[in-house]
Amino acid sequence: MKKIRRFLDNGDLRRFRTIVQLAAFVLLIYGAYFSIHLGNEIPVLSCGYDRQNGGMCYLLPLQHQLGRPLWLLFSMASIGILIGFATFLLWFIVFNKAWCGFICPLGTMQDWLTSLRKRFGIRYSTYSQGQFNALKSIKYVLLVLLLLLPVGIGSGVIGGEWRAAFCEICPGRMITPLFVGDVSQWTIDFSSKTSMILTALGMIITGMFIAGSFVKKRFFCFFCPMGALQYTFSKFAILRLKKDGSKCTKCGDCYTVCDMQIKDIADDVEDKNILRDDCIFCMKCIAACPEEGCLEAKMAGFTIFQSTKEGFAKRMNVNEPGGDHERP
Amino acid sequence: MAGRPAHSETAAPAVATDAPVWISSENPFGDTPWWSRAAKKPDAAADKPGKPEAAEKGGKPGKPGGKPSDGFGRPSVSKVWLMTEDVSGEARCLPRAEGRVAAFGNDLQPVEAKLASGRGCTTVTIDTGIPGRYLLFYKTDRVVRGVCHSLIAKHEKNYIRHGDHGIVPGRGEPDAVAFNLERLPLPDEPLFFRYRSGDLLPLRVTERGQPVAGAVVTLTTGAGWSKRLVSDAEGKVTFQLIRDYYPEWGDFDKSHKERFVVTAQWEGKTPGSYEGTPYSSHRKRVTYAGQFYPETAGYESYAYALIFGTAALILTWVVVYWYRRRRVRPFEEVTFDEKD
Repeated sequence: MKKIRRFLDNGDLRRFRTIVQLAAFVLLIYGAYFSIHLGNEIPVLSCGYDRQNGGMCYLLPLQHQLGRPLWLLFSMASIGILIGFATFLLWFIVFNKAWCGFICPLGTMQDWLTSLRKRFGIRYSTYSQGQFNALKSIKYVLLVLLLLLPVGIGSGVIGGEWRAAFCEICPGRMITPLFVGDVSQWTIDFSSKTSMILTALGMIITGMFIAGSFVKKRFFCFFCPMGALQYTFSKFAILRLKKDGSKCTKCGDCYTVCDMQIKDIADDVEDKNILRDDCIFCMKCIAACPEEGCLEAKMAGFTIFQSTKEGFAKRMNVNEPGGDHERP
Repeated sequence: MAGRPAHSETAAPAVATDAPVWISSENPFGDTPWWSRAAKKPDAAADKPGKPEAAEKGGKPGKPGGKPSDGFGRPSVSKVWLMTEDVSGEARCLPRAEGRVAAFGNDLQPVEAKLASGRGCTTVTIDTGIPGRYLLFYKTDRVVRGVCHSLIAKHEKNYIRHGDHGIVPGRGEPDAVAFNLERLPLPDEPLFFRYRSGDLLPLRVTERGQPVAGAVVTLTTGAGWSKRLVSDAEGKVTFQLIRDYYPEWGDFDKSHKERFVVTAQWEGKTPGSYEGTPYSSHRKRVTYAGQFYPETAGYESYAYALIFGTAALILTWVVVYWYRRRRVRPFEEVTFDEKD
């Protein structure tokens, strides 16, 4: 058991994450070629406009389902919506926000753009704390709009063109189908003023997504309503990110490596549950923490990955912090 | 002829003796609840010559066949309506059924189809519990002045929902059909397919599975436009669907449905008898109704999308570069003036 524990804690997280991301990308983007489909309640931005997808983002069917006439929405016919939501929750509670860091194809594409930037030797950008605080609520605004606009359709306040409004502006709709050779989403729909505005906004956001992801790590994840929806239910998940504040020396390594610039991971020594709404559960903080057992990822109470001096030294290719000592 | 019918249950004009019959999957009553169908006046705009679809502008489209309430969920039974023309040329429900129906499922096996007349309409109910393509034929025969008139109305529809995985719509036609108009699918026709303006509509006229040359095939749209072709040696004709829908931008509906009916006619000097009545020639007619929508190229633009996307990309990079350059402060040596 100790050997397994040591193997896991000393593991090369970057390589493991790359492999998982690649496998998930192939599965979710090309799954239909292998006759694999995991359903339409996947808690990642695996775009349904990719006709060959192996599992679809839950936000698309959710918007469509909420766009029913109100009398139907609040009837027994909406048991299907509850079933879909329950399926989404069942998927989500297994991996919590690790869906973002390990599975989401749009997140993987952003990581690829980050790798490209590194190859060019261009320094990455960060938000100031003021900018961070001002921008972090955008994902909640998008989530609320995503839920309310379809209800507005059902009540007759707005037209049916608003049904999948978030999908119209999501960069996943434009970019994901490109991987199967489908460029049909790279259009502006002039059939109505609403469609024109939404599709134009979608193209603008796509341009910003590519440029932003190049200079800022996981640029779009900061604004993603799926992340906001996930965080609402993260307390029910079995995968947890835990911090033992008594062991924290506030070295700040965790904050330095954090793609999402979450300050609490370094500053908060009180809260044991250190998962925050912006967290993508990439576990880079755990990998970068030099203190034994300070940060750990636990699944159903079992530690699956924790920070260790030995692991830190191996991953950072340095002597163990606190000097050399005999390895057990 | 193929436009949205101006239906009324009160004092309807008589149906012409030789009026064509076609099958529509749209409920001619539209959104009107069943308890308020009585004395519904047709829209006056629909009576204007050359603009039979004007009635559709402000109204809602008729609901597809099936459960009349909402269309959500796949009904195990679907309903279609038999339509015809009255003496003034307006489309209306066929008031009485004088023929017989036959329906075929995805594998060309017969499925149950029931004919019913009521409230001025004749409907056919088909068991569509199994997802797939369904074919429905309504046939009437009548001998008038020594000529046997056979009229077949054909309906083809895929009853498949997005949740039905792995369904392959059937192809081919039942050989038993006396006179048939087969729709030839396009080469890369996907599962959920709709015709759009500019698409070709290839058809083949057959008689008990064999091609019929020299049949007169006429396509008539709801806007009143029609084109006539003659089938070649292989029984084939090809029409191009062209929309006649050019509203103001604010009124444009990309889901606007334009209807058409294709009629194939063929007359042969083949004597025979029908129900004991002899005839010297046989006039056969088959109708096939369908619909098409505006072409996507008519309202979608790749060029503008690339302009917007590229502009946003470049502008974002420029802003980020300018922001980062502004934050770079050149080294300034700190000097002290001992006098201060």
